[in-house]
Amino acid sequence: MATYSEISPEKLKALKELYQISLDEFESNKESIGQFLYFEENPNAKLAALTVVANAIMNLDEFLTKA
Amino acid sequence: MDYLDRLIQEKLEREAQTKTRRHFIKECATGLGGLALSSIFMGCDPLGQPKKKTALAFSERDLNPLATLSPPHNPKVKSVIYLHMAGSPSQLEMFDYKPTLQKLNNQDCPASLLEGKKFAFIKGVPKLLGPQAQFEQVGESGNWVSDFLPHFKNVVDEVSFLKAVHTDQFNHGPAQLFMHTGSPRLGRPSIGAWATYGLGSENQNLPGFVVLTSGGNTPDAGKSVWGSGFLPSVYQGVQCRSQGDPVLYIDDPEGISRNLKKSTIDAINKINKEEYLKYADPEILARINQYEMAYRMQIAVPDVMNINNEPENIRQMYGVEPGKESFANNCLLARKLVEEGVRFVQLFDWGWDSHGTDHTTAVDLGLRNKCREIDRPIAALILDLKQRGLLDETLIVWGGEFGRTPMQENRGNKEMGYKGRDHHGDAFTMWMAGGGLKKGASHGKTDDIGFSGIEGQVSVHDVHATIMHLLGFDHEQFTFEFQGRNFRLTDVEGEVIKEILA
Repeated sequence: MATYSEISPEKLKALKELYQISLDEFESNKESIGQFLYFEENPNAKLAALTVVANAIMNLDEFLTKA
Repeated sequence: MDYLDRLIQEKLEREAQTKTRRHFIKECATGLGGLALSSIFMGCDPLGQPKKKTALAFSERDLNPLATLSPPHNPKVKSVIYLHMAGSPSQLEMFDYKPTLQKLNNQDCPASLLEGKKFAFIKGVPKLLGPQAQFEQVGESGNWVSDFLPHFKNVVDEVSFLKAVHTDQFNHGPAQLFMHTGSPRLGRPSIGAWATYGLGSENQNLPGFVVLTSGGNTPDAGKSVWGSGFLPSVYQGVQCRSQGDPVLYIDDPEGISRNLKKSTIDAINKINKEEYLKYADPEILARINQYEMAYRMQIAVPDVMNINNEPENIRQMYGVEPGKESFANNCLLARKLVEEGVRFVQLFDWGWDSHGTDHTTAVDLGLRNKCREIDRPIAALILDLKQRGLLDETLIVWGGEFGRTPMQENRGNKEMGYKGRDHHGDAFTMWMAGGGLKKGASHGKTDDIGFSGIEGQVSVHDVHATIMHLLGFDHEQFTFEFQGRNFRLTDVEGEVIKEILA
């Protein structure tokens, strides 16, 4: 949706890996969840990890440059 | 449901709209796209050997665009600090002493001088204006320096003057572009871009080409004066803020560890590399490299850009004003950056356009204050580099985009309340200091009133050729193929100014 195009399997894999790394890190360090999502009423590791992935998507070349 | 329908509709419309540029090149690659690509990716290496770049593989240089390269010839300096006084300082109040002009003060300018000349503001017959500063010969070299620059007198023997530089541009924007890119029109790479393209950088954690501004404004010509033109975008100057955080949002957000930041950058770059393999747009490469650089800069920048951790005597020497935007701070930062291996540091100081429209632009008032702002920091920069053994491997260049008239400005053909001088490109002073130069030299001479060069005239291209020579390049060989022909910083002109070489 962010780039109006179908995602390729390689790109999806990279984003899924980032999600997993983020999730693991937030789960092992619960304190950082609240720090990162200080504006959320009920922050959790899943939401924090998804935020990292969304941030990455919005920084992709294909998002920033009209491909 | 209505909302969902509209959302889907919007998606379809946007999808159709985005199928344009890269899609056209990619999906129609057998036809027009293929044709376009073959011209886009005809690159050239810095040593002047034309080579075809294939878009499909990442070369060493693609992934490490700032890796250190050796120049083809013996370099005299490793790095450059270019001090540009934006607006153009009056050589007649600083370095080019004209006692005859004093004698002719307030007399009408001879018509023969005005014939066929264009000025930015002078109209009719202006009056000559004698020097508004006291001059003396200083140092062993006996070069002339005015009382506007008392500290500079102590370093005059380290400097090589060019007293008869000329330019063919008399408005700020084009003249600045000419001075920094070799062309008064947009589109050419700046000197710093050429230098980092040809030599990479000695420090992979900082940009190879850093820009710092002071005086409250950026140059008239805009950011193109430190642009990369047709060279890869990664070689453009990186402007750091002179006040507050040098780079905005350099800190990670709360709760995000350094590792997680790295994983994020890695994921983004993995996807961007896929994108590059698909479309082969070199701008994607630039983005990949800048993200890597940004990550490394997070550690290196706060340290190098912090002048508070310098000892008190050094801070006093430069006269820094922590927390403010100042030329003095930028001079100290320039030394720190060069010390860390940054290739090219470009300083712009605004406020030198001494037209005499008010006291801040009067050559006897505002100009004196501007000189005070740069005098101590420049002397400190030269001495500080010297005491660290860095002056021999650094080149400092000082100048504006042109000079100023020996005539008093008479804007609107009226006498003005303050003493000012108009833009003048026929003859002005620049100086260089550092490795490979004759110390205390003075090359070139102007006539008795400082209107034209009469001996040792040098052009902007000659200055560029000399900078390239000192960095270890033959300016005629250092080219980049673009739009079907080889381009160089000096294009089809320029000669190395041998008279000031050691």
